Amino acid sequence: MFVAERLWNMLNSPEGDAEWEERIGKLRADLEIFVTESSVTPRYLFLLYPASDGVWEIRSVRNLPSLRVLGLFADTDVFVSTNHALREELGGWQSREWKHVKRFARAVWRQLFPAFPPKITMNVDEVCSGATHEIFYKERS
Amino acid sequence: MKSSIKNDPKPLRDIAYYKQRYRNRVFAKLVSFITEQAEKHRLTQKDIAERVGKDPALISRLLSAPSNLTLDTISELLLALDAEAEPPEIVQFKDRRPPNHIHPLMARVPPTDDGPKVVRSFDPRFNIDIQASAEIG
Repeated sequence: MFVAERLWNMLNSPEGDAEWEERIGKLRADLEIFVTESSVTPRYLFLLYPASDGVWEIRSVRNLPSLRVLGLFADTDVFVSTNHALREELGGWQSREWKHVKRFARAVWRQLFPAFPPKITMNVDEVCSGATHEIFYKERS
Repeated sequence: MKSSIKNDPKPLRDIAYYKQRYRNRVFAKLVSFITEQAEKHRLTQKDIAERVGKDPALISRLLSAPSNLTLDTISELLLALDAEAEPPEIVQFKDRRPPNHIHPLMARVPPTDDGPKVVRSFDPRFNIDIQASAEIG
């Protein structure tokens, strides 16, 4: 995983209050799931709409506030996290804020890799080895 | 006389990080095992719930986030699949092995003018010197 500068700076920010320290510590651990664990679930890594943009989000849900880290894949298992946002500030899926953070993610990508397009696919297995699918937990019709 | 260094409190950020990391690791292992077994034996959430006398909705909640798990619920979920967890392996930081894998794309990142390009790990001991790795590779 590569981490864009702003997010990196947040993860390595000077010491803050207890709530901040707790949140940053947990975000760091949540991001590391992608690197260290042999499986990730759809509740952790999620392809954002429209899929043709190739923008994914990693969810760091606990503790509140819930955070979303956006990014794109350069290749299988190579995630470039471009930006992040507080979930509560994003509103509904069609909101202007959501559109803005997704657009920003693509802009950061273009700035970092002008001649290198992200990997676009709707199949999580093509970008992340070890992705688990929830179908096995659900009722079979 | 006591050493003040010896009893310095650990940073809150580190405490939160290691707590969450351990929780995430246990969760990932559990989800991976349950998914594999469910697929192999064609099991559903309802099947697992019935085996331990729980509501399927509870099973869904337990498997939705690491923070919902307790040692007891882990034991119950595993028992439903005729399994149990061994006690965790305890490792001192000084004995941890550094990573030995570097992705080929990382190795292709050119060094910058201000010194060797380094892929930064959250743990500074695990930073990877790309230039050195590329030369080795």
